[in-house]
Formats: sequence, structure tokens, C-alpha cells
Amino acid sequence: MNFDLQWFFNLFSIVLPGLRITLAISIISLVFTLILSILIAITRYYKVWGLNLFWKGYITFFRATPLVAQLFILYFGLPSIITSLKSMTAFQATVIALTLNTASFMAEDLRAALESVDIGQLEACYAMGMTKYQTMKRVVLPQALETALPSIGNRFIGIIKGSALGFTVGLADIMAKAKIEAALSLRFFEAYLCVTLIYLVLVCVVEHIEARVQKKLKI
Amino acid sequence: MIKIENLKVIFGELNVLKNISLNINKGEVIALIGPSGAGKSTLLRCINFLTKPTAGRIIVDGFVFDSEKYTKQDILKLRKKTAMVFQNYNLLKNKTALENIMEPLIIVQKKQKKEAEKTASNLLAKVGLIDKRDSYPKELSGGQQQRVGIARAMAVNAQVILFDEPTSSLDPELVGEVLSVIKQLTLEDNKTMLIATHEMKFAREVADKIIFLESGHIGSIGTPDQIFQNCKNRRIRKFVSQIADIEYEVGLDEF
Ligand SMILES: Nc1ncnc2c1ncn2[C@@H]1O[C@H](COP(=O)(O)OP(=O)(O)OP(=O)(O)O)[C@@H](O)[C@H]1O
Ligand SMILES: [Mg+2]
Repeated sequence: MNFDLQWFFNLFSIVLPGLRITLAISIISLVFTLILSILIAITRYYKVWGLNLFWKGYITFFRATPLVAQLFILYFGLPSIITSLKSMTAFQATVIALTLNTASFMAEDLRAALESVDIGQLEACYAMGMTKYQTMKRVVLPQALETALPSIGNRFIGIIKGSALGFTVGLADIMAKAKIEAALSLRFFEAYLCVTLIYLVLVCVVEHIEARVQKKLKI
Repeated sequence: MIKIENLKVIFGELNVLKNISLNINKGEVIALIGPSGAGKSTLLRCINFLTKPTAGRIIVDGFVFDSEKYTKQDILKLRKKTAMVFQNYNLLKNKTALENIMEPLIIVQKKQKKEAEKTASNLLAKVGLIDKRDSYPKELSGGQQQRVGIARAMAVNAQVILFDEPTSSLDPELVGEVLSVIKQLTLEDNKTMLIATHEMKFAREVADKIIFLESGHIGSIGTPDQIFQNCKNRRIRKFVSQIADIEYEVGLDEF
């Protein structure tokens, strides 16, 4: 078999330094995605007029178009029209594209979760004199986040895999490192198997964390 | 304590409450009875604005709420004067039994956490559930959940407690424990209570007054004896005897 085992193991020490970038992109994107999704979901839940229409357009656009197209428009396209965007780094562009893309999905997951909270829960809060804001913050949103946890986990996995697109705009993430090694050594199988295994382990870790959070919430 | 003036509720075409006026004194326990769809829940829900009245005024403990002229602050004020016990308990699912009772104390009344915890523990003990203080609602039986719901309603020291069929969702063997907790409260605390219920024997035992509501208006109002013993109203008698085996001592003239 034409598989260089020693080279394969050797690859990990070359590819793994890219993990810092992959993790940074993923975690920062997740945080922004959560914030944006909560914002969108709540304004849509309350049917804030105008905003609701705007988010609908946004969601349709970002759900309907490929992530890679969104990233290229953002990084290569827009700065040629809006010059102030010229200073945007590849890292920032990747995070923004991943955030905007993932939030368009997660916002809808969250809105459904918000709407699934029993009306009786809200009535109990209102009856005891809580304001709309207190009710949302203390009861409705926590319950919705719990319901949405599995889909949030899925979206996060999507972000991790999506971060591989960073190499297309020149980021030195694990995917980029693997691709460079593959091109230099012409040992494609070893290089891509190596990076695939790293993604696999990453996702398993995320799944493990999700399961633990879930268990903690379910008591 | 509660004064209701010309209260009307219209849902689309449906006249659910037709010009209800009512006076309830401080400390009175009122049982609200009547057929399904008569508007019992709607009446209770109007008193803390879970349902928006179409017209009329609600005066609780001197606070005048005019359903044609009110602010957001007025709604909160009205709600703070009342507490509600729901048919489906409606305990907050993401909070423990103790936290459910502490919630209004901390968030609405701005009490210190320690003080709120003490009040909440005392109330839990009172309804016999101190050993369940850290349980979540789904770990409690229906009867236990409702007892926590009652403790929560007591916690806020509202002038008025509204019960909307507190035992209707319970398995028959759990009804007793909840009714006895409510009964205990009517004896100990001098709170004004309005209880919608289908438990006629219970109503007869605890209530100072019975209101018979039928298709959106007050069909009759009187003492338990007037309603359950000497009542001449054919519809009330029919309704009562259908759901409870209460024997009327006086016959109807027509018979
Ligand atoms: N939000 C609503 N929209 C439309 N109609 C409603 C609404 N809430 C209640 N109704 C109607 O108002 C009428 C009175 O309802 P309500 O729940 O007050 O009756 P009830 O006396 O509490 O009956 P039950 O004993 O079954 O609980 C019913 O005909 C019901 O269908
Ligand atoms: Mg009802």
C-alpha cells in the first residue's frame, strides 16, 4: 500500500499548530452567532415591525447562498466598493461570514424554541408582576436555550467545519497547513486524512461537552 | 377590597362577560361556580389583566384600574395587588420549588436573597413540602406542584388571591391534599380569595359567598346555604346536582 505511515504521524506536528486559528475562528464566531441569533430571535418573537421584515430578508439571503460565495463577496468584493472595508483582515472576514451565515439558521432555531415555551410560563410571570423584559430574561430565554441546545451544538459543528474555508482567503488554519503539505509532498491522502482526523476529534469533543451540558440541565 | 364595575369582555363576536358588577369585602372567600364556558376564568384573569377587559373598571385595595384608560405601570400595579393560582400550576420549569417562590420576592419585591429564602422556606413548610425545596417542577406530582403554586401566591403578600380551578387538572386522589391546603389558608390568613371551582362540597365548606356565573353574567350570589340548600333557582339546582351529590332540603314549588 502506498501509505507512508511515518510521514502521516509526522504531519500532525506540522498541521496541529494551525489548530489555534481554527479554534479562534470557531469560538469567536460561535459567541457572535449566539448574540446575533438571540437578538434576531427575540425581535422576531415580539414581531417588532420593520426589524422583523429586515431580518426576514437577511435570513432568506444567507440561508439561500453558499458560505464560500458570502465570504468571497465580503472579502474580495465589498472592499472594492466600500473602501473603508479594505483594512478588514482575512480572519475578520471569515468570522463575519461564518457568523452571518450561521446566525441566519440559528436565529430560526431559537425563535421556534422561544415560541415553544408554554404560554402558562409567561402568564405565571406576568401574574406575579414581572415585566416583559424580566420574563424574557429569567424564564423564556433560559427555557428556549435549553430546548435549542442540540441545534446550537449542531450549528457549532457547522462553524468548525466551515472555518476550513479560512484557507481560501489565506488563513493558516489546519486545513491550510494540510493543503500546503499535500501540495509540497504530493501525498494527498496522508495530508487530508490527518486534517480530517483532527476535525473528527474536535467535533467529538464538542459533542461530549454538549452531552454534559444537556445532562446538567436535565438534572 | 375588590370592586368590579360594569366589566365587559368581548372576544370577536362572543360576549364572554356581560356587564358584571361585583363587590367583595376584605377577607371574604368567594367561590365562583357555574357551567363550563360561563366566563369564570375570564373574570379571574381580568382582575390581574391576563385578559384585557373590553370595558369597565376594576378596583382592588383602593387602586382604580380603568380598562379604557391605563398605562403599563397601572398593569403592573394591578398585578402586584393580586396573585394567581393556575389550573395547570404553571410553576417555572427552570426553577426549583424554592426558587419558584423566591422569584417574585426577589424580582418583583426586590427583597434580599436571604430574606426571600427564609420566607420561601417557611411557606414550603406550611404546604408540607420543605423536603422538596430543591426539586424541579417535573420531579413533583401534580398535587405537589399545585401546593408550591399556592405557596408562591401566598409569598407576595397580595391582598387578593385568585384561584382558577386549582384542582381540575389533578388526579382524583391528589385533589384532597390541595383542597386541604387551601382550606387551611382560608382559616389562618385573613386574605381575600376568589376561587373558581367545580368542587361543590369544598365551595360549600370554605366560602363565605358563592357566585353562580352563567353565560357571562351573575346568575345568583348568596351564602352557601342560600345556594346549596334553599335555592329556588332551577338552573342552579340542576347544575349543582349534576356535579355533586348535594341534597336540597327544600323542594321547588313547581314539583
Ligand atoms: N382568548 C380567547 N379567545 C376567544 N374566546 C375565548 C378566549 N378565552 C375564552 N374564550 C371563550 O370565552 C368563554 C368563557 O371562557 P372561560 O374560560 O372564562 O369559561 P369558564 O367558565 O372558565 O369555563 P371552564 O369551567 O370550562 O373553565 C368560552 O366560550 C371560551 O370559549
Ligand atoms: Mg375556566
